[in-house]
Amino acid sequence: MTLWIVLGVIALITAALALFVIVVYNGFISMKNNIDKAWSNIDVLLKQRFDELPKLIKVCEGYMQHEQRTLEAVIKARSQVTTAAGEGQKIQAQNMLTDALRSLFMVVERYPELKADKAFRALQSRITELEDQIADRREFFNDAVNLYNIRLAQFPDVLVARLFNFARRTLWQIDPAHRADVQVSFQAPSA
Amino acid sequence: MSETHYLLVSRTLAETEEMRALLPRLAEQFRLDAFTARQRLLGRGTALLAQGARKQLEKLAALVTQHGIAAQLIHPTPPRFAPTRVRRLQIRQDFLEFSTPAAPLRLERGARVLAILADLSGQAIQKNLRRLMVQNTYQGAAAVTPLSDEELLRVVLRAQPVLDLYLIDDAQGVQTALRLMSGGFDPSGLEERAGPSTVGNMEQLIALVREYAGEFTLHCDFGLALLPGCQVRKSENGEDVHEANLAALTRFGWLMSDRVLQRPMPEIAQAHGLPIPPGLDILRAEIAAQDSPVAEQPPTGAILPPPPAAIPSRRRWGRRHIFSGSAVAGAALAVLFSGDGRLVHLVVHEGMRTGLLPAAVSAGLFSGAFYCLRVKRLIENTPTSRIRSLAMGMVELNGQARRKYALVSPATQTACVWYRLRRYRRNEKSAWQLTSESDSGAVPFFLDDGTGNVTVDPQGARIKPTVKHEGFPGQEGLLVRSLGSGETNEKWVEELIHEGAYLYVLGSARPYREQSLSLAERTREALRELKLDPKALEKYDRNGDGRIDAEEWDLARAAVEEQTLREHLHRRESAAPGTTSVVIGRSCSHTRPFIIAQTQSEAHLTRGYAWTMTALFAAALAAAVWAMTSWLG
Repeated sequence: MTLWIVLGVIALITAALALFVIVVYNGFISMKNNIDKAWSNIDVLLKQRFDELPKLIKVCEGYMQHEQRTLEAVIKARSQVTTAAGEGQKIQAQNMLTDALRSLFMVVERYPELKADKAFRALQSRITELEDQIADRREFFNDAVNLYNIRLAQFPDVLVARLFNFARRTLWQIDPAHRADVQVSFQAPSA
Repeated sequence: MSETHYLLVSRTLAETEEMRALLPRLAEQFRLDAFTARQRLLGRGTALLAQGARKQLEKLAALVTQHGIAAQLIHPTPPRFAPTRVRRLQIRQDFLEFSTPAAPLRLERGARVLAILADLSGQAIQKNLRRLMVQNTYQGAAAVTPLSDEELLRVVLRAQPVLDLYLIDDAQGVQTALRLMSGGFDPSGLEERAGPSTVGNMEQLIALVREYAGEFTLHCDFGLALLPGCQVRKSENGEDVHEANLAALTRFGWLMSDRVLQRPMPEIAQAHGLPIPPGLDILRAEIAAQDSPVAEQPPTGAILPPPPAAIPSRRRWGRRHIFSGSAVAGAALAVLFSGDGRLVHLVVHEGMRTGLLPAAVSAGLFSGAFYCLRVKRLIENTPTSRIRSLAMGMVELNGQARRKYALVSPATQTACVWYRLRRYRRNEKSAWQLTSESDSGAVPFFLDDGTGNVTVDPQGARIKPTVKHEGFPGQEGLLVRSLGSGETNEKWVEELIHEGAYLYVLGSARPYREQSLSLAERTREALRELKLDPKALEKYDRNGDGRIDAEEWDLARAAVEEQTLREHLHRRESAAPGTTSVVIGRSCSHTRPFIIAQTQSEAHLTRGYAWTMTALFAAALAAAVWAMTSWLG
């Protein structure tokens, strides 16, 4: 009888372990899909920003006739987003677009009439809002990836991960140029 | 456009039937939050019930007066000067002469005097509060009586008293204001009335002014009254709050003089050449800002609308479910209990002997343990989102609860976003037995994480509050923490999530479709309308051929898109704060957990699940061993 009880307990523990493996496996699958979703959710906002740009450029053109280069840079960056192939190129194109927009908003300081334009202000605030949201979602993406990578390395999840070949995911990284120190000069420009 | 007016009410010490009847009417007719209104109407002294345009407030004042509460409508005057400090006084036959740093000032016999005796230390407020709490704890709600006027006067005199005297003229308003600080003036001028005690000297001074004044009004409720900018601040971390408290006292004095005069006062700005003390400019600016013309709008006390009609939080079972469920349960019970319960005995006995019953219990416990494990891992595996950039689907949020509706808990009258009230009665074995349960139902609230706010619909959520109050019937409306006595046969237990509590929310985010359409949807709608409107299309028919070609349609579409965008942006800009386009609720499939927990720590929450899971696993294992022993033995 004791043997049967021992066998029964072993069977129960095995069943519990099997269920545990199922829970862990499903957790990994869920996390992997959440990471993909988080990435796609960034794209949703990037698309929204992309769609807002023609309107912004249209409003700016009327006032900024002497800043064609800045506007062209935004247009060019936008077109590069559409032509970019592969994840790396897309990230680079989006970063270029962010830079171009930043330059545009800096140049706008020289045009008080444009700054006062209601439509421009609304679009600027909308794009700034989108930029904040994009930054938040990138952080969220990194959080999701980080949680997944931690789970992959933790015991006992690591056993399940190795059994089913779950691989590490890469965090979103910024353009190395953005890590460089900002050079600030207080010297007056030479005439 | 009209000027801001204040509706001041004389507060009552205890809640009356009239007040109970008034609160719902204030909520319905003036959208005055019942909790806030109750707070303003109960207590000592004067309170600001609402502020706004005179026309609106007149209606409100009429309703309040109709319910037996004294109300007064005033137009607050910005303080034109602060009371000047008195160093010494001299008693004359026809007047009292006060020596000030500028010129001596006189209080003629028969003058109209408004006196404010204030305690700047906050001791009077503390004493009043302590007394209320002690009475409440030991004698119950019915015995609660705040300090009487005489007692309050004594308390203030024994604290850190300041006496402000406003000399009022019916035609010219406040003519002079004087400030006498305890220990800050030479009592020798009181002559034979002077004594060694500063308290006694202050008392004598009040008596002397009362004697000379033709009409004398004394207010001792500074700090207890609920008036804007009239609160006593307590020093924290060595911060000097004396000047701030004096400025608040000045504001209180001017408001009280407005009550006395009841009409706008003529401008006598600094006619006496009185020195302006520090802080007065700020005070004047604050009141001037409040005094700017305002549009006709509801009183600003009205912030939150009343909660919507009760929506039960429990799932409503259809008639078909109830009938079929009852029929099955009834049949099962009839079979089990037929024949003197022999069948029940047989089922239990056989179940235990064969081990089937413990095996079923074990299976149930295992399933509970795995559910806890699944939820624990889901909480741990879900990253926290920011409300500003919330994506649709399963989300985890942390933030502070904010009321969307004026929800007040029924027992303790606390402003809350969710409550559950359970009533118990002792049974024959003296054990508490649940007799009724009610909750706030599906009243939504806001969650604010600093980047934005989102509506949370708590229907179907597993709610974990941390605040729990208990009391006996008759103790409703009070914050009673312990039962104290075991004699009564009934009690209530109220759990709530109060406003401002930090919450953890795991739920499903979805667009609030009833409220707003997305930009793309609006654009599609506008284009559809344009297509159906030939007159509007004519504008884009540039070549006048009576048809819209592809190029013209592109132009029309661009114009519509631009117009919709402008409207969309304008709507977003002008949206009232607190309006959100996303709602957090239970997932549509009902397969994912929806948790609202009052905690700032996710680890605290998961630890609870871990302990439950371990206990359930251990119990399941024990039940399984028992089942096998029974089966084999």
